[in-house]
Amino acid sequence: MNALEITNLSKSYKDFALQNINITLPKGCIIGFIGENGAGKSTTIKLILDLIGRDSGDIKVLGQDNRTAASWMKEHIGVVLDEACFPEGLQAKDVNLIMKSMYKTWDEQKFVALLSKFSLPKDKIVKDYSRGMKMKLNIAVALSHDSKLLILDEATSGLDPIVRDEILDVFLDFIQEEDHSIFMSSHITSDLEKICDYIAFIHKGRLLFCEEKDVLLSNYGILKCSQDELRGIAPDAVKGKRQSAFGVEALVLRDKVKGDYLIDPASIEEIMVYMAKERTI
Amino acid sequence: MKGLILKDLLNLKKQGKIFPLIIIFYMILSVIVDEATFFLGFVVLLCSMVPVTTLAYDEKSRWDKYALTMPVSRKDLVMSKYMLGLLCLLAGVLVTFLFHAVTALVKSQPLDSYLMLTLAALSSMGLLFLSLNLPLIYKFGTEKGRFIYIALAILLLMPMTGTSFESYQTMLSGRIEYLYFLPLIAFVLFFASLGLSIKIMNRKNFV
Repeated sequence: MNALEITNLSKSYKDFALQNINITLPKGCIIGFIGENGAGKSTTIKLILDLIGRDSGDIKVLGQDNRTAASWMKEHIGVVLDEACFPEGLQAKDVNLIMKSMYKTWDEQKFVALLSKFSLPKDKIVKDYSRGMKMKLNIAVALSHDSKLLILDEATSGLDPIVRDEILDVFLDFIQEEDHSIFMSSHITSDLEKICDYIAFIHKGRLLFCEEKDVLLSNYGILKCSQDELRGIAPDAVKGKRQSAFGVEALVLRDKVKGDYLIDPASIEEIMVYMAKERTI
Repeated sequence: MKGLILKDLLNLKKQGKIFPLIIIFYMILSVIVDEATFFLGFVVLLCSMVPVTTLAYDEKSRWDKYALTMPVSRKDLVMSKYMLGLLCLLAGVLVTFLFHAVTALVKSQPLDSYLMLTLAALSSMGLLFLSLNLPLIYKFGTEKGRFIYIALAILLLMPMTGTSFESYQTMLSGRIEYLYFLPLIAFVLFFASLGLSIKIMNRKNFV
């Protein structure tokens, strides 16, 4: 069974359209969802959560339809949205009381343990929290019930590198259970490179690829050469390029480049930037 | 749903500390000027404002969007506000009743014979206030909803301003028992309003 199955999902607005998105997240895996601002990441996540209505397509979460099995689904997902939405007058201990009657599977001990792990004060009101603290509180809630799938929308942005690293460890800990999975969108591609099994790249409402990270990293490479040399390479091997006075840097598919060239490994960020650039021109 | 109401009560805790103070202040005031109806009306008004206040807080923190990621439906969100309104009104009625009972006891006078009627009429007004206000807020948000509400209230009250207070009295004289039907009407409208709010909520997109 897949943790998440999105088939032919479409949603159009006046000035933006999400077109035919297909994403599959196998159980036990982490998928990183990347794309620039306004590419459709948050829209996709809101469609998964049924916060906005879709035009067409199907979404299955943990094997169940996200609409017909909504309340069951919500018991078993942990969600961190791009903003922490706790009412400002609450304290962490209030949040515990509230969630206890929200979730049948609420785990108070785990929540308290996470609060102290994230060094969140129990009696400070949310209004006085920093952005990082709010996010951590949100993550603590997402992990303190029987979540089998975490859906994270920019959960680690706005946090310092040390806290981010701590939280990535918490996520890696979560994924140790074989039926746990994570769907996370992020701008911080280095974080995704560290922990993801799959990468999905969305650009202007279209999915450019949804691929295993290792396959992606071994397929793509950065070729540094001169303009003339680039002309000798099959055009379908070149997925994006950056030109300067000294030569060309191009994102290439390694096995389509014939000949003796030096190809450096490409990072997720480079793949994303080069591809997005190519599409814009 | 219990969690949603609990969230509102806990979030109001800070402002809530002022509530008893305001109530005590008006209690003393109404004893001094010996005019109890004023106090009664005030408490009921205060109580029926609570759901509207919590909706404004929810909007500010964008709570609805987050709550919907929990095992909570849109219907639950709406029902919790109506329930909160009922609970607060009930509490308000209870407080005023106790206040009157105690003052009557202290002054060793019999309980005002019209007290129950006044209570029924005023809590009906509270219910009507909520029934009109909540769907507007769900549809237009707290900012715009408030203005539309005021405009609507003025429009509805306009025909009454022409007639004098005396003519109301003569109209009602001898038939004051009819006021007992007011809660019934208020409840019917309250449930109709609940249905409307759920309909509005179900169509909403959370961006």
